[in-house]
Amino acid sequence: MASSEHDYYALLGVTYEATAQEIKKAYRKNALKYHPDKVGADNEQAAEMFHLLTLASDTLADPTKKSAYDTLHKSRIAQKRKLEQMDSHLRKARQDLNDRE
Amino acid sequence: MPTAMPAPTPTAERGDERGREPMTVSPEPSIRSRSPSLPPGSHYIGIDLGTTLLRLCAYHPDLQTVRFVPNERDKRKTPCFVAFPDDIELVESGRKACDPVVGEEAQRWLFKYPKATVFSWAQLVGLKFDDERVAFYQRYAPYRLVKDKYARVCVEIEHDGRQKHYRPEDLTAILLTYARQNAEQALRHPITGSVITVPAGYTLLQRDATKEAARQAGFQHARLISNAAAAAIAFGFDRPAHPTSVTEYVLSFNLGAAHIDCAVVGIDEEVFEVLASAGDVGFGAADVDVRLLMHFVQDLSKQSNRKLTSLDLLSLRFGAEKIKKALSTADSISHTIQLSSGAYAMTMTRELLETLCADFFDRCLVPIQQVLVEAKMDITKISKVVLSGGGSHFPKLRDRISSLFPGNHIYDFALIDKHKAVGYGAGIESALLSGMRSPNITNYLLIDSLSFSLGILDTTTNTIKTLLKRNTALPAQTTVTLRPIPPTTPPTSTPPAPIAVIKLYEGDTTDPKTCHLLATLSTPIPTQDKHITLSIDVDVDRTVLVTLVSDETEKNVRVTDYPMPVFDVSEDWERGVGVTVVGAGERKGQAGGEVEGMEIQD
Repeated sequence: MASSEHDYYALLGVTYEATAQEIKKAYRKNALKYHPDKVGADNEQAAEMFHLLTLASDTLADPTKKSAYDTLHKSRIAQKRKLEQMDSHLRKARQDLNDRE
Repeated sequence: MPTAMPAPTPTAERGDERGREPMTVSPEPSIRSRSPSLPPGSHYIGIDLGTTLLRLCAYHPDLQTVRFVPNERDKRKTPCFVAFPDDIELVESGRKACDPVVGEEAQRWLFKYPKATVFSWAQLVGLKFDDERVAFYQRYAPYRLVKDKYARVCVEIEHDGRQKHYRPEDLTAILLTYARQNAEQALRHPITGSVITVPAGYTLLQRDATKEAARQAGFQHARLISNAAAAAIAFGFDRPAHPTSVTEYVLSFNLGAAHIDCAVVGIDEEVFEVLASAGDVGFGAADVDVRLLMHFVQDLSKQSNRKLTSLDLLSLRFGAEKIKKALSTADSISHTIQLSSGAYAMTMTRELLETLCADFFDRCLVPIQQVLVEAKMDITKISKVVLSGGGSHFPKLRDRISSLFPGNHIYDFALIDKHKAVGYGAGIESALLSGMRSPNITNYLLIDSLSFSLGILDTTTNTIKTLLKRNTALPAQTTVTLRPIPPTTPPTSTPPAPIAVIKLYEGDTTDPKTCHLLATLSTPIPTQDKHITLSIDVDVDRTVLVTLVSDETEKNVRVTDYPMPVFDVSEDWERGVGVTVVGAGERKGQAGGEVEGMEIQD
């Protein structure tokens, strides 16, 4: 499928560990920005984006499709996970610093 | 199929399979532009279009909320009646001859002109005359149902001694025209858009017929939403303050006179997503009236001196409706119905009504189970069950539904009446499409979904390959590649240019006999090694656009243009591979020489 090169996690703005409910929630939040009722029926770019969002949430909210997608994008996801972990380390370090102050 | 198929132009044939006078839809270049959303500043109105009642709801700028719009008689509901009294009567009552009368005034003519007063036609919209339901409706309708040239059902009206045929959507158009004129008078500005509620189980054909009615009534744009979705929106505005971070899942159940609507809706702040919907069209609270009516007829048959006329049946039917309503609150009721043979007095208890309707309640619960499964929703995740529609007043039904959901999940509307919830929801959606923003209605959105799957016929197996699954969020889009298969035996003579015939179906089974054939599309196949790309686009208004790209030609075909003929799908199809391929000049038989068939690539 042509759209499989997209990073669905980034598109929806969810973490790798996001639950199906969180994914659906992110989808609805994003839909506000791209749904034709919000941006007009002629906005082709937004229509394309909305379609991608639908694909992304349908894929990631379904455990079977999610694991198939994840296998296909193993390396990218590994990178993303690392970043996320780094982020959380950074946050923790900052938190610790704040606590000490 | 004409013998000389004009070479490289893909066409959509909407005639019958054998191709006698196919209706050819010429591809328009402008077709790519999506549904006609109206220019900013246009006014929309919400219309709860029921089988028996119509309600109008619109945004009120001063009150900054939606309000029901009164009709010319200052009533907030209009009975769905259209009457065609004889011209002389019309002129005497100060109207133009030939003008139909609508609403309460039409109801008045029912017993005087039973063959020219129509009600409950909504359930006929988009039905074939041969449908078994048509025979059933005819038994209890005083007007005559006939067949039109597309084999669909029409209503025959006797007006001034002449017979005239009306399609159900023409009658809806008369009603909607009345509604629009009323609203323009009450709101003092032109209204060009409408949000109309329809049963969730309406097919594309039925939706198109309704949109056509709206067009005839002067609405440039009609957005159709399901009754269940509208009620869920009303719930969203009625519910107590809710923590914004928590997604709420509701099950919306709407029981109208002639439909059951059911939907699971996920609500995040002001975004409503229809996760799954299902319904039973042509079955609803009016079936309870029919059961009561049959009970009365049986009861009366015991009294030997009683003979029932068709007007008597009508009186009994409306009497039954009254009794049914009364028994929603009372345990028993005594009622007298005037018949031609004298008064018929009876006492009816709720217990007896529930016995007569035992299987009715069972059938009401079927769509509930269906949507829960389709939405992959655990029953414990449903926080509220929203009941709406006149039929949801039955205490027994309430009990049955609440027993499905452990804990008290049935939601009682605080600010709105539950029989008005659908109209209220349509009103809110209309406010949003009008571009209204107020403290009450801010960043709201309804994400609706496809009611039935769309697919194409795979002739290798004679089954339907689903391309867009039901409950896919709208707008939806999918693309599939069709690859030509080289012939196993070389052609004996100069092969005719091969043409791929693609049949688009709407339905949820793989058996083409039980699905609706939407269109038959054909496109020439340039050479063996070229592919055809087939894309299906369904926009927010469920306009289906099929794009066929073969070689250098790209053509778009809108398949749900109105009017759609009714197709005969019983014909046996020749064995083909993937998609049927026929050479020009030959309708049946083997594929044209260069290409043996087309297969669907995953």
